[in-house]
Amino acid sequence: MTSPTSAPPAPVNTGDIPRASGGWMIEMARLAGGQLLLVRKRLMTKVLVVLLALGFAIVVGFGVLEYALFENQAIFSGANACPTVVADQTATPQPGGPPRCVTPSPQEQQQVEEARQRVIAAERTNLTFPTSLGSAGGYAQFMGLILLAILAGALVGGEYAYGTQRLAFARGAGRGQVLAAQTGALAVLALVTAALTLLLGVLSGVTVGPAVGGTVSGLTAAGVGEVLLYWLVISLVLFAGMLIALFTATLGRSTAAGIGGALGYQLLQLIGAGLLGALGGSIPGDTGTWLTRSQFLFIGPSASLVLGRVAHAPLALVGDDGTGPVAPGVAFAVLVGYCVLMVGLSYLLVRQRDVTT
Amino acid sequence: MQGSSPQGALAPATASVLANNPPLRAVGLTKRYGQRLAVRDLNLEVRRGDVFGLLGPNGSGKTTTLRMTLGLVAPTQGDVSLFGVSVSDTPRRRSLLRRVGALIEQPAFYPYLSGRDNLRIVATLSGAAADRVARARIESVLAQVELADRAGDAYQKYSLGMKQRLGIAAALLTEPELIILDEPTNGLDPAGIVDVRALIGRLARQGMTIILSSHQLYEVQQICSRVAILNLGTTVAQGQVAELLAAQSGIVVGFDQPELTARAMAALHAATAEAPWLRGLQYVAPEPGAWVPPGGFLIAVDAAVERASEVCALLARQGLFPAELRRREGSLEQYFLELTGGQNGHSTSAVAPAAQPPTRGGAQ
Ligand SMILES: Nc1ncnc2c1ncn2[C@@H]1O[C@H](COP(=O)(O)OP(=O)(O)OP(=O)(O)O)[C@@H](O)[C@H]1O
Ligand SMILES: [Mg+2]
Repeated sequence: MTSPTSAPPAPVNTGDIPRASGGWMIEMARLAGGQLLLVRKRLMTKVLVVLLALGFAIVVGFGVLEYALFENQAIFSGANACPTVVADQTATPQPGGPPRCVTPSPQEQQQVEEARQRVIAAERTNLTFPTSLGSAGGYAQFMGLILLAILAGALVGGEYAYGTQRLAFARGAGRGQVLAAQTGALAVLALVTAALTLLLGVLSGVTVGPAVGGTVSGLTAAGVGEVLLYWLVISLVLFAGMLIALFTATLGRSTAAGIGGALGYQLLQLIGAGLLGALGGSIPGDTGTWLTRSQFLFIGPSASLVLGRVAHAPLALVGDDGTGPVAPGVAFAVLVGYCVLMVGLSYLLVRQRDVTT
Repeated sequence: MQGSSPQGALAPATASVLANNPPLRAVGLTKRYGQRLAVRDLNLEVRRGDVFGLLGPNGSGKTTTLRMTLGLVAPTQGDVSLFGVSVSDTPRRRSLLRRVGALIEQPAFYPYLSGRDNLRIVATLSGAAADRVARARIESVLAQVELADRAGDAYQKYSLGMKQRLGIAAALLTEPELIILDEPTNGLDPAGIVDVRALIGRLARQGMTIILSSHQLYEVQQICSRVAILNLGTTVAQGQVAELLAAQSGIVVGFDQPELTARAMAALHAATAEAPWLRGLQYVAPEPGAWVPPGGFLIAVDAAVERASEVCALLARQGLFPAELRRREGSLEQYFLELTGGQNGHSTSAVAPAAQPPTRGGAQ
């Protein structure tokens, strides 16, 4: 029909047609932007953000309650009026019977009072900026991780559930490009969630902190550095958790597989790392050392180690100082290794897969 | 498509190759899903400016073929190329597929997004910036498919037909040179079907190449310039609609007693040796609304219409006088059913007619 020598007229470019522009990276960034738009528009996201804030309020609320209990000596006004500290220190528990109560001596009372003041001071510090950031970071690694696993599973698995992956592929987006965009979007979500949670820590630290008698102090340059590193490492931990959801959602081609995989990992880690730690501690010699070390193959223990390394001084956002059975560098490599592994395995899955939904 | 064209990713040399090559060509295309052969050794060529009908019974491999065209499914063997470039050429696939708009079976969209936001996503997925141009174009395609006043509603609240319309809007969004519509009128009301037909006509006049997979054969006959008929995963016919229909036309003979029909069939069969213009004979069911002989079947004589009087003479020699004798118009439906062994085909071999007309299946 069309002779090879006469090119047919090119369609008229009316100038009002959205056209592809930019290279691989720019397109990938746009795809990632599309993913973030999906997250923003989802009702689920709003619910999860509310849950995140609500959970944080509850955690702070418990801190305040604990503070108030100690502050008002409520700990000593139990039904038996038998201070547990004293009972533990002075009485030999009789087998099968309740601990024997004795009236504490003035010395002992002095000790108890000091202990009480220490608890109050610690609670006050935890509730006050900048140490409040430490509790917020801990909260992010627990609650934030769960919520983000749900979000990541829904985002990646939803593509299979709705059959929408073909929207991108039928328009020529590469398999790797879409995966990179999803990974990029998850990275942004991890950074934003960690920042949001730390922001909650700032807010509670400057409001609730002073209310319980804490003194808000400003940040030195080193302090700012510590907070920044703390934020980045927490983001990395969240990111690694979400990438597990990315991988399992891709593997199972469903939202349920994504969420189940990521939460299942947390459970496995809880049991696995706990078991390895306990066994390692009780078995002497090389085997024990090896077992203790191998618990750092899990994200959680490695994350704690790295966080201790970056956020112990000067602000002491993390109590541990980052020394442990493995070097912080190794622990960091484990975190990064998870990310690379999850994305790499996902790529192997999507690279050749037929899109038939 | 010069180098300065909006598909800037294409080098000028590539662009001239693309301009001269058929929008779609499949050669020896084969797809196996496990043990099931969905498409086998399929050859297809869609030319520039075609409104190309892709027909075939359920499961004949139309959607699988179109999926391979879009790079969604990898061929087991063979190749499909768009504008002369193989779809398996991954680095160039991106710039290629940007020139194609497609609706494959049920549209897929994000249920929680509005129709408008879904199109925004599609624009982004096409690699376009979410700018003013994109927004204006989105409004324009929404208007084209008459969804403008419901564009703010969530996709999950759309009716089947509205979802289908949004799918068509998405296919049109980047004003592609090749539009692939896999059963676009699925779920549309009669007015919607007419609208889509008119839309396809408009797009064709604008010079777009359109591939339309459809089970609405009457519609395909009206709007398609060329068709391919698929059966069991391969092309069983391909060509200009007008030519296929012309080859279909012939003579229909009917009798008011079943025995006469059988005798006439035998007589005509016996005459095939002396009358080489008698290319074939078969029992056919009358079209809806036409005269139904007592036996239920007519004889379709595959011969030029001008031979009608000679057919009459052949029959008269045996003392047979038809109750009906008329020109048989070619219809895509009839042709389709004959080729694909559908219920109304009842085709018998041209040289060995069955002594008995086939039992009437579900016809009429
Ligand atoms: N993902 C898949 N896995 C296995 N077999 C498949 C898959 N997709 C399609 N098939 C098979 O391939 C064959 C062709 O299917 P296809 O969807 O291409 O048919 P179709 O011509 O589009 O049919 P319809 O008119 O019903 O839409 C069928 O036998 C079908 O069962
Ligand atoms: Mg189909």
